[in-house]
Amino acid sequence: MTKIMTDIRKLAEAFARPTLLFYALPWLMLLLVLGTIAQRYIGLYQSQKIFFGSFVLWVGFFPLPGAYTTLGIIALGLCAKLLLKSPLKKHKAGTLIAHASMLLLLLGGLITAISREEGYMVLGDNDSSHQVLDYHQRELAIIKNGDVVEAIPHGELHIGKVITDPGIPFSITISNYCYQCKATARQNPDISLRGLAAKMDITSAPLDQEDAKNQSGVVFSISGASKEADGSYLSYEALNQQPEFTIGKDKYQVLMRQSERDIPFTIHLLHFDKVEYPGTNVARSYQSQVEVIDGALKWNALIEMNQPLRYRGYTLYQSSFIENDGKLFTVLAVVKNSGALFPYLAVLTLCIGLVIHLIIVFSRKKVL
Amino acid sequence: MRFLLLFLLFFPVSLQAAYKEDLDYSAFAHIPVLHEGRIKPLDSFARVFLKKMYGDKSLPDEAAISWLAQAMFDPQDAMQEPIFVVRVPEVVSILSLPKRTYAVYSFSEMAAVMGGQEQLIKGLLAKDKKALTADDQELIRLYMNVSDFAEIAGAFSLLLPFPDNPDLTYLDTLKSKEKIDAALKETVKLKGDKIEQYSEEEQRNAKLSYRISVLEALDSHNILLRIIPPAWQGTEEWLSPWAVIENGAGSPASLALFHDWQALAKAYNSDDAASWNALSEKLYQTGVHSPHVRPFSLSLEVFYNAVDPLNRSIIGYIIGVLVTLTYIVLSSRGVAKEWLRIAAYTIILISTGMHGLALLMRVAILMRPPVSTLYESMIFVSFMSSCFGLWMEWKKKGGESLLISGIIASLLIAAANVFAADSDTLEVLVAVLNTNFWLGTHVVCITTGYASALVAGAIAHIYLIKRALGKTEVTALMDLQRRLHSIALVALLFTSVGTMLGGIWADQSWGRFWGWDPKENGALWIVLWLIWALHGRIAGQLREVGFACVMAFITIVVALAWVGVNLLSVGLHSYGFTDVAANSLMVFCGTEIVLIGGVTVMAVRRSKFV
Repeated sequence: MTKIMTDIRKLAEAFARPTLLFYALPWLMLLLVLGTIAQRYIGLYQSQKIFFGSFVLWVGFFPLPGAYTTLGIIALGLCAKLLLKSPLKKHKAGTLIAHASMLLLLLGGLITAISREEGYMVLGDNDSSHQVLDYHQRELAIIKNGDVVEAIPHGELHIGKVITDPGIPFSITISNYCYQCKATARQNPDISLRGLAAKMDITSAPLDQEDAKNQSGVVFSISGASKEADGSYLSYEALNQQPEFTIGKDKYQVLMRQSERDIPFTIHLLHFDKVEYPGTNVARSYQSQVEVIDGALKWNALIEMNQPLRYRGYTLYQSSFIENDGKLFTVLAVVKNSGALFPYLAVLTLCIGLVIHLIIVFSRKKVL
Repeated sequence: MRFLLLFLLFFPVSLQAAYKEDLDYSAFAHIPVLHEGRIKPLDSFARVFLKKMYGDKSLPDEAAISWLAQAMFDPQDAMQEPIFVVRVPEVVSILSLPKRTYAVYSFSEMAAVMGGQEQLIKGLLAKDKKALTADDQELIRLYMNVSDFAEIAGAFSLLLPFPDNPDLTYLDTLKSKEKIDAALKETVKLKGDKIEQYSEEEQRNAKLSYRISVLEALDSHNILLRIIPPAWQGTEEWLSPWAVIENGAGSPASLALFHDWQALAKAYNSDDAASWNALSEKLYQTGVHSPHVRPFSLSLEVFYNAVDPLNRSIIGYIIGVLVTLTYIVLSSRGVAKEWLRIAAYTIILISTGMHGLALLMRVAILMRPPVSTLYESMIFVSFMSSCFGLWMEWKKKGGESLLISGIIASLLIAAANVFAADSDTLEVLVAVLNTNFWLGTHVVCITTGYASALVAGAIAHIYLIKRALGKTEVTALMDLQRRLHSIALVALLFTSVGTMLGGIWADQSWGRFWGWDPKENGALWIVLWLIWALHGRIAGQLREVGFACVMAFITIVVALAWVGVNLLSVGLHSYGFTDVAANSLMVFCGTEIVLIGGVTVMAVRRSKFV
């Protein structure tokens, strides 16, 4: 037992040495540079997934430590350093606080990575919504009389998957699925193909650099519903026409779409205002005058650039706007992040730590 | 085609351009105009366009403001002035322009050849920017410049006398325009469309009607010279003279202004200095008493343009560097002249003072913190680098810190001028940047970090060179190492806090602390590099030469993180300049790799350890 403890201590001490950081940092910097350059060719979303959001970086069949692993090792090293190699001495106060701030930042990053929910809502004047669209996630939604019965995330869809649910009197079998699809004309239509599926099919296409431009699609067959409803259908994000069928008195829709989430209150847009510099098309400011409706509570709030609205753990930001047929729509980013406070604490402690350390260094003679 | 029409409209033309050198342009230069979202003095407006067209803010024998006055009030003469510089020699052949040693052409020459190129230009404008060749880009640039000149030259055409009828202007015909058109229609109805069959009166009427319609076709959409202040409360929109007519925005006040401008044009063309001065002053007073105009800011901007403190400080920095070098060379020969060092210090101090004054003037003109564009970051980093150098020299005499001060500051101001290219460097900000709090904290902090990192890189260069030459005493080398370590810590403080403040700003604006945007990654790269170097030094992996070598390379890291990431043209921060940057950046990085690599190898050979 003592030997194990000794070994653990030795390992922890090895982690606590700056040598670990000396070798981990060049790798992290390499990932950073490669991931940045890759953005030009594969877009931010894909690059982020491969270089900054993975535990393992696969180079062909060869696994290398991803950014999460590297940051994890650095965080362990920091913990070990703070526990084992940080005596509470006056002249070490600055470095101690600065190192603690880095740990705080990494901890905040971890909590954010686990807990963060983000999306957006698009509203025109006098529109209301309590639903947030996800930037990246897609889902196959089964809707009965306007209510979502089940939503299957795109990551769980694959050819051959069978979907059943006690709330629906039929089963769905996926016969084709792609995250980014292109439409093709169907060569040999048969009588089981319904709606658009009778005329077109989908095939996988190279991913677009901007994830929002990827258009997911699915071909599925319905069985056990009724003679009229059973058959194959196609749902493709790029199209307005989506599969619909009726069983008895119930109307069903099965469609691919951006994932939607409810938030526990409603936002009603009173007015969106875009102010331009006079004589130009350059925006000087955007702002959304909204009414927040939470049960019986109602009040007005202003969301503008650099001035978000924070309520019930959600933060609503003035993200962008859309102009369509002369009408303006506000785009509000909606974020829930339990780790949001950590960067604020980290920057404060880092600043204090480094300033103390600099004062200590500069108070020594012959520094400059 | 419309350029040609404009040219012909003012035909016949005088063959020699006549400058009005005896007129006083000081009040005229201060008259406010709305351009690119900002109210600026006519002096700045003139300089911006002359820089775009001619490549310089003045002509060899004429100030920008007098060139503008001529273009506005005496367009037929201004059209003969060679002001369009063709930067790509092949374009001279493409446009069939006459070949000259210095490829500069007048509007009349350009209009004659551009008229036939409109389809080509339209095709180029529709093309993806990345697919444009250097010739294409130059053609587009010239077309835009010729269009801008046409707008400036036509801005007052409604107030200027018709060339064939000096007593009449378009403005005079406004009320009778319908009658003139109706009379012509009646004549055509009765006598057909052959003008020789008309009476003298009818011919005069037909010519006038034609003249009016041509003028309207050419200039009625002219909006560039927004010189008429808003007539009503609640609007910030200044209008061009033509837009006042076209938008139906006329008022008694605007009519009075029209008459003043008309009288000013007359005074200009008749060389009536007294009227010119009085009217310029009157129009200036009307302009500055309009809403949202700050008279102090206008005067300051005219002063800033005239003094050009940034480019003057470059001269001071270069002289300071030369004096410092003389001092260092004499010191190495044992004949140190302390007064030379003091002189160099004073010269660089004065240059830094002028540099700082330029930054303060820009803050007062734009009413925002000093850094928000790539150009501004360069002139701020150069200022801070100079301050760091002066501070270090104050603490430890020797001249090296003065070299650092002068070289970094002058190089960065020169680079800023290259990156600024033809644009106005005093510009308005897009919505997300339009926040004084974050510009004053995050941006100032991170750019101070860039400055300290560059100074650290420069100290590392000096250390390696001294070590490679092997003629410096050990104590002096140790002293440099201590300085390098200290300034690296300062750089770490500013870059890390600045980067994290940037994350908090992003959290406030875009809803996320970190988005792996290239600019964010670039800032993080600098921070990680500094942490790596400092921990390598602590861990013992990097000895003196190794630490200096890693710190010397921070110059490349800063250059790539600061300017290089803009070349990727992706992400939310890609608002920097990109076209000119690539080659200079490659040359800089290549030179640095060879230099640092070379001196490090030499230093290692002279050392027992690295």
